Amino acid sequence: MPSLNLLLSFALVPLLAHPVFTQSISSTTLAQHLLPASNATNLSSILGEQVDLNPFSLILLANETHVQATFNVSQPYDEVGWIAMVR
Amino acid sequence: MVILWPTEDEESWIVSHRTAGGHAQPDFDPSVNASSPGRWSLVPSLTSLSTAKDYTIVTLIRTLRLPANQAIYPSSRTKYANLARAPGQRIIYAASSQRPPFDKESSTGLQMHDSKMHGSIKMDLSQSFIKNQTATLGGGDTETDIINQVEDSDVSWGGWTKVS
Repeated sequence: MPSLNLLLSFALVPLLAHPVFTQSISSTTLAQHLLPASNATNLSSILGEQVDLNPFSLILLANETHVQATFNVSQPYDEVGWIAMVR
Repeated sequence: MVILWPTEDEESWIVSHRTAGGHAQPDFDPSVNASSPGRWSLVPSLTSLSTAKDYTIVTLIRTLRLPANQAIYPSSRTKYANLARAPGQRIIYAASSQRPPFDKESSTGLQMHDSKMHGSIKMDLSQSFIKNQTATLGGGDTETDIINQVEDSDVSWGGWTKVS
């Protein structure tokens, strides 16, 4: 029941509610990498959003100076062809 | 634009910066190298290489605004390539299930994107998040940290909450 899955995922992972995301990497891990890239000292300085673009999701997180883009693909490594982003 | 693909040896990813004037295969600029200002850089610690998982992650990082001395993007288009911590950050994306024939940034012969696997979106980079100190994990919360291959159950970090 997809709608129930979505609801449960959202309840468990308030920030990035995506089933694939919860199986792969944590939002905290993503954010912690971005902190040293500037003078930011806490996670509250990080902004961002995730969008679902089947078969992958794109997560953008930004601090004062840098932006970090994560593609989270619901396919194994050897089935990924190429991914392009205009920016 | 930046085009990514995993290498055949499963040891890295190709990060290829290119430009395109329309509906054509984007051209690689041979003057762009690993130290070129403004380029996207791979974040190895947040990028997966193994085929053992049924998902794949690749992460890049770049300055929000391109430095004045950047030569990756045509100067006339630089304003479109900058990002800001604001709503409406436009991203164009595309993907293909066919890997380019060569594991080098200048590889030609890229197949067209898959059907329906392209589009334009706007992302909101004004959304704030705060660390939720009081978050309690449990009840099935099993975020997995691929770096350490362990469940992210560190209560001191807790969860995140969007600031409304």
